[in-house]
Amino acid sequence: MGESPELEDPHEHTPPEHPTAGVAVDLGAASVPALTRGQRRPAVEAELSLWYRLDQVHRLTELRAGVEGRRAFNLEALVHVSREASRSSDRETLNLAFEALSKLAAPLLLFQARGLSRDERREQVQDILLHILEAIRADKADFAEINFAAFAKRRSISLFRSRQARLEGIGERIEPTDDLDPIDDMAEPPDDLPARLMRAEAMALLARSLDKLSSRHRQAFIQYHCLSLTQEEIAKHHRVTARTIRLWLERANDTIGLSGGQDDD
Amino acid sequence: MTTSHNRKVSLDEKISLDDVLAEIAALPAPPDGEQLRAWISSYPQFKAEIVDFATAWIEMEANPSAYEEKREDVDVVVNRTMSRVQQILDEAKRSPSLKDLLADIKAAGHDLESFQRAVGIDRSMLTCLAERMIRPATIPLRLVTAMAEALGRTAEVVRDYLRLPPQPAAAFKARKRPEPKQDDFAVIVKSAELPEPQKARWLTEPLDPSLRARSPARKASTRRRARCPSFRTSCLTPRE
Repeated sequence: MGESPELEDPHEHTPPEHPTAGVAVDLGAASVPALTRGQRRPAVEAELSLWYRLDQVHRLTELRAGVEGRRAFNLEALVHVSREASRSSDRETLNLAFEALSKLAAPLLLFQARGLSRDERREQVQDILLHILEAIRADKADFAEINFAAFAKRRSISLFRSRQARLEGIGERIEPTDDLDPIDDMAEPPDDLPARLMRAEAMALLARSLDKLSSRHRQAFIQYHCLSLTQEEIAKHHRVTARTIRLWLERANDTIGLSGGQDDD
Repeated sequence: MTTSHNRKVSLDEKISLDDVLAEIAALPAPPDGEQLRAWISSYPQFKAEIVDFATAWIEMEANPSAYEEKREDVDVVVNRTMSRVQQILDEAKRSPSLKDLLADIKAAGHDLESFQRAVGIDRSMLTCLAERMIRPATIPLRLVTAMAEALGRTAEVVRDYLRLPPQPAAAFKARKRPEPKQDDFAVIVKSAELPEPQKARWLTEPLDPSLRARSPARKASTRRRARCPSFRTSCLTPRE
């Protein structure tokens, strides 16, 4: 089955099944409109080239087969078909192409929605699909035609950030500034930063203690151990002092169960 | 970094934050320190957003993905999405403003009965709404949201409609056209042919603060006014 490149291995994809097997095609030249920016994957170009050789009746038949799960499509190809249908106000084609796209994309999008309840997952997937529709209607879906999975992943991460921001907003305390962070007055930070962990180890510890860490401690932990930022960079990013960052990291370590302060980078 | 990313840098095209984040999302896994620094040095103007994005990605990945694909989930998502897609496409075809409620009900795929059921009103209430014989400041929020949902419109479009001047359909014999007077929502509900519990529920619903805030203040003269002529002649008369 042709599908969008999985994020785990974006270069791995199987060419789609011949989308017009057993269907009469017009063998004349079939040019696929170029994208304003970037290029489609060759497999998508090939699929669309065949698509443009079909007459309207066969196109609708193919899309119905896609909706019913009998026909494989590249997700990027369905974005293109939806986009062209939207441009030409062809609602029947748009309905079928977008339904086929939704059906084929939903499992990937449901998988990408992490740390959510079942209802929240469904809502997030619907939100992403409607975001794609919005991009299609606004004729701003070039990237979705280039790499659908990355387009969806970007939206998933944005939704995750919004959700985290809402949760943080609920427990908001006094905002730190350059000059003052209330946490500075609470405890004496260590002189040294904790030793940087290997990324895989840091990720495993993080996964284990995610719920126990406060938002700021968690972010500092990720930025220090997984993104290799220095304490000054992290401090500047959060608009607090380096001293505060040392304290946050120390507390994150305590929560996670790590001990000891060692050298910085 | 991806080839397309390098191409964009070399061509010095104007790149939006959205493009940059989408390209980062194309990585097979969240960026490591080296990759992050490469992105930041290419787009220093987006440094904070790139760091936030990479942090959020790692945080998201740390969450367990205990999802087992279920056919039911896919079906529910697709059905809901396609239903919303139809609403969005219908909305785009329709006039941006709502001027004729009865025509809009049909355009939304309802008949009068199904609209009444969806909103929880009877025919007399619908007639009063269609003729805008209800004082906007007395309308509950639930009525506005239920109408908006049933019509596939936004709540603000419905509010704009309810704020329009009254337009009674009743015939009149006087030489001078009478000035139509609106009634409170509660008065209309009490006269409706709804089951008592349903009436009681409407009467306890909180009012729509947006309609209260922007409705003109009730004038002292309204105390002396007679009951609105359409109240008996049209609002309570079932109309097809």
